[in-house]
Amino acid sequence: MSDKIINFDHVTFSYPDTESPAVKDLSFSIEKGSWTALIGHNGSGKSTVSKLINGLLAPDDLEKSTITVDGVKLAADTVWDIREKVGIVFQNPDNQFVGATVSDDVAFGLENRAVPREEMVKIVAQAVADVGMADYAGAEPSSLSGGQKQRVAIAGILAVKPKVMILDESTSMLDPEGKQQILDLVRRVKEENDLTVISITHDLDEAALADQVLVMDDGVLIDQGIPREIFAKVDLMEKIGLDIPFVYRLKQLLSGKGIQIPETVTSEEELVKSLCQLNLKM
Amino acid sequence: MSIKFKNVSYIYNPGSPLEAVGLDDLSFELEEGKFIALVGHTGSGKSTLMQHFNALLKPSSGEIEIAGYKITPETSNKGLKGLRQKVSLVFQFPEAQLFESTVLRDIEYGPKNFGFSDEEAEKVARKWLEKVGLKADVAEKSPFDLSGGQMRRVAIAGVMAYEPDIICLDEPAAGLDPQGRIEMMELFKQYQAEGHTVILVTHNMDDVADYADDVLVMEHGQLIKHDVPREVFKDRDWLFKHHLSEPHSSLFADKLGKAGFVIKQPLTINELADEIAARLKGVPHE
Amino acid sequence: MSKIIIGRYLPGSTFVYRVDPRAKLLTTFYFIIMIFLATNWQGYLAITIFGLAAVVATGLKAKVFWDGVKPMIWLILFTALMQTFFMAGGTTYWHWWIFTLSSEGIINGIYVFLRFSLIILVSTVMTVTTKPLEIADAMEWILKPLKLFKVNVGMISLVISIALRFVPTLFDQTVKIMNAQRSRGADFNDGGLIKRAKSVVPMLVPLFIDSLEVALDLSTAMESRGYKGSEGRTRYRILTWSKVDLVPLFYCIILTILMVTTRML
Repeated sequence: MSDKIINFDHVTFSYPDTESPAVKDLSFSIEKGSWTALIGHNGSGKSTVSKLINGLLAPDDLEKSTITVDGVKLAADTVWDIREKVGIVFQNPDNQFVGATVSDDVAFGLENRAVPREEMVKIVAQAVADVGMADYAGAEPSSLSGGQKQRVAIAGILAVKPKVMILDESTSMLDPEGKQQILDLVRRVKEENDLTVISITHDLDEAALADQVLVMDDGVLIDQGIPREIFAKVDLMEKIGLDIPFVYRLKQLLSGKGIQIPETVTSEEELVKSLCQLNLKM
Repeated sequence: MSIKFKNVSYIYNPGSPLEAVGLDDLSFELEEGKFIALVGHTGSGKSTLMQHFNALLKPSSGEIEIAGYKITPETSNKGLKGLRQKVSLVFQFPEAQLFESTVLRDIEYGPKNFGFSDEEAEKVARKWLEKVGLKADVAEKSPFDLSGGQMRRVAIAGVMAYEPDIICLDEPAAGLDPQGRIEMMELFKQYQAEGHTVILVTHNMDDVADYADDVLVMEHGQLIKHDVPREVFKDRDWLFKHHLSEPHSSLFADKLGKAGFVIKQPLTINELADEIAARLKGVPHE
Repeated sequence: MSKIIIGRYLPGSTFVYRVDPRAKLLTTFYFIIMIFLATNWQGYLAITIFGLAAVVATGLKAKVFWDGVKPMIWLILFTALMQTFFMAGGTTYWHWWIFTLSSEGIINGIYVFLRFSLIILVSTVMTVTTKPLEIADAMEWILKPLKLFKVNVGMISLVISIALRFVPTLFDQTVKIMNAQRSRGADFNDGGLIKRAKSVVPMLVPLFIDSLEVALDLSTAMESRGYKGSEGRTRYRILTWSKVDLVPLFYCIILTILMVTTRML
């Protein structure tokens, strides 16, 4: 169990005043240091999972449902310990920016943990620099782009040194450039800080970065595997409302024209190689 | 008829320490009835330009001709209703504009403002509710009980219901799932095919390649390119220099080319597949 | 693009900007008290010179200060004229019904005019060179003694700082919603009172819902970042006195000496 940082065991959760549970009997585990993508269409329960992980929501029945984060079992008295370990970057860049300036916002989590100011100043400066926002340390949120605000949110999380970082649709409101920058940044800080990353997303490029993909539908985990296995299931992708990756769409079109590409070709690079070989045979 | 901008500039907060140039001497002409894409980075002046189409902002200098109206710095705020019925805007995340107690009433709000009778307004509201892909039974629901994607559709229906000649949409598909975005884009394409002008503000170059007839590229308040998509995407170095992305198909063709399989630059995935097939099957082409 | 000025802060780099906001706030209050110590022309001359010195020290254009005085100019003139025409004393130049124009009246009118204008000028110096957030910080410091009375100053200051932080966000949202409804044919400036009041609904409802959403999102984010209430938190943002704060201190001392001396003339 030591290499599993998050463990869900028969977790069921219902929102008040709803008929059916948002998450039904969900069991999965996440390996320490891995990147997991949690995908599914809107309302599939994927965002509920992120809130369950750090105790923003509690399972219907804490006896039957067990959530364990880094060896700590979620319960009323461990909730704050768990929040120490888990940081979430939320969807809306504006609505999670608490501080009056970049540095103030990064310091917010530290202030809550009663970190002495002298230490705080050092940590904040470091975290702000780590996300490439050093030039904006004193800037107010209204002068920042959405992507910059998300970088600040990431700095705020790095500052408190969590074990797990959850991206809860964190790139969905950004333009393509901002999105790419955030993903590059997360990839880098994950390595530097030995983080476990969970990204809850619609976005193929984001899901493709993962080591494992969990597919949710209607509160249930319906599939699980490495990205290329999951992406290859074209019907499943359509069902969960995800785009079919470019490679598969092109393969489909080519096969319609009588050009068969082997099943094993699942990435753009492989497709280029395969097409070049066909071309040489001509 | 056409949309004409003549030396249009717009200055934010003129005379104050926060003075900033929004639009810098824009001149262009757009043919009506086309599908036009407006691209550029955040802060390039796209949304400032967009708000000039129906005089939410008026130029600091220059002149605009649109839908039979002429907008100059002196244009009065009165009597713009007629213009706004003909030229309408859908802002980013338009679900934020919903306010009525039922979906139907929210869609009727625009038509009623523009003088539709109650019966007419209800008729067009029901029609567009269906056209944007919502079931008839949501008509009486509160818009706030719907999902985000459904709210988006209601908001878009609320603008399309009075069928403006020119509709300008800012990232209308942002945040929708892939199926939803295709449906939305097809809806706008069809609207254009029925004889309206569609102006799409977008970051998605695949959409530009797939749908647009004409492209405006903005940077720092200036129009840096106005051409058909094929020409805009032709010059790779230029795109790179201005930090603009390329359609996916075009990128893939480039990878193929670098690996020694050179094909003509495609715009869309269909063109790409055609090109590859033509080459592999030895069909001669120009 | 949509930068707006919250309060009246204008960016600048003169030493006035570097003075601790607490010092600025206290000096402003002190200056206003000093104005009322002036009783003769020497006193008014001294305080006017000091007021103008503060204005000049900001390094900002005169227009900024004129903009501060402008909205109040009629009130100032009216009050000054009342003083002029209702006060008698010294040589009387003109008299009609209850109105009198006398030498004392004229002098008093000028004094009232100066008093008002100076108060506005020094407050403007404070507000244009100090960010609203710094003003809030300074206020919090001044309110600190209230902790003795179990007032939760920490929470009040967090609330104020968050409120200030969201002013531009909500302002942007308001403009966006207004534009969206205008595009749908709304007219916010047309018709009678009732029609106008009604036309605000399509703007207020979305704004209210948006604010609610912001509040919910923000509280979730705060909780997720470990916020358990204002007890037991440390502070990142602190105010520190620096050498430059000696300037307002000496400014106040010299001003006091001058004002006291002029009274003895």
